[in-house]
Amino acid sequence: MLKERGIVRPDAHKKGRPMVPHGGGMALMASMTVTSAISAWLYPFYSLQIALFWLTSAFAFAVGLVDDLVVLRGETKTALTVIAILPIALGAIFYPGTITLGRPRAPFVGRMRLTIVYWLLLPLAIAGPANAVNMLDVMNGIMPGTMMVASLSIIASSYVLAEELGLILGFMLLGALVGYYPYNKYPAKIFNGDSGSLMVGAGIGAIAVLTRQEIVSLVALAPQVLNAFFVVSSIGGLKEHRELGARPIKVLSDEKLVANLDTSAPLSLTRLMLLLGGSSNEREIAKAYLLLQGVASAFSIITALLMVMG
Amino acid sequence: MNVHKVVLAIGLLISSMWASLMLILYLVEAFVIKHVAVSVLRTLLGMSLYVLWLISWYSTLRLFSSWLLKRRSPPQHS
Repeated sequence: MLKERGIVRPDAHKKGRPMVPHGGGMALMASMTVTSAISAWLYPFYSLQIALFWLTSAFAFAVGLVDDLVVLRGETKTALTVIAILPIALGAIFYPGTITLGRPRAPFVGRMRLTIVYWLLLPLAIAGPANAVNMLDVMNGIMPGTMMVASLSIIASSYVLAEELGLILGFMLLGALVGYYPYNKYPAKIFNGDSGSLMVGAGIGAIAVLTRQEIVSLVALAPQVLNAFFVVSSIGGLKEHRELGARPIKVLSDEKLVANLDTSAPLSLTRLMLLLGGSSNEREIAKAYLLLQGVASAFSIITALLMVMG
Repeated sequence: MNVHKVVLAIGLLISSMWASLMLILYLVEAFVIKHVAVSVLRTLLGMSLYVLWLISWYSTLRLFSSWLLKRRSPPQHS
């Protein structure tokens, strides 16, 4: 159906650049909607938190969907994802007894004494992870694969911290990703689109804020944060990949990928990988990303353990 | 690509970032928050330390990446 409507993009890392539909985010959103409704019915005590989680993800999904259909500028997309915090912020204002924000958990010290500053940083709580996950959605299977591992670490951390809501929301996200992954893994039958990656990133951000696992989630998203750090610092701002001049990597005729040695090309984690390990293919890069995500996720669980010990 | 070498190198980078983050969190909460009496000063000092952490990692990563690029770039002939 997506192919018939022309909602397709070229798979840039394959020979002949075959056209692939890019509406995978719709499948992820549909799955999240069903699991949110079932979870709210099974756990009525958490229905408000589940609704806020869904609303936040749905807002980021809508921003991504607009970007998939009508390409938005990098700055516009980021600014719109900042607004995605509104449902949670309003929830905290109108239901302060149920939604409590601020004072995130930290290792060794218990709760951090961040109150006013927390509210000042809150707009970044959804926009940050949403855009970081979106920026690492660069090859077949990387986004759902790494996010499955990240969701598992959030589930494990929620178990360690005895955070029931984190378990529910983590399993909801994991379930949607597990069902979707076979369609996006190499060779992809469908692309996530910005609607998929922004939605999943916003979902992780919402879990972090609602369950006070901001630091655990930040550590779990280390590869995404590292990549965003590299990209933003090397291009000097937020830009769409279509707006860039030189590409960070080059595709050779045999589908081998190499780092672009042009110093003006933007830096990314993939380019760094290729500079460190030599030329490669999509499958090997996806494998390296999954292993790196495993490292970051292990550290996020250790962070949760340190919180309990402290 | 040598996947193990890549994972080891970037994994080490992630480990160092994590360890320094834990250290800075501990320093701010255990020393600044506990021992500085004035609220505004506490906030300013704490935030400055976090920003310093961010800037130092930003500079380190930039230096590391430019060193790597220079090492891999073909030599320039005049």
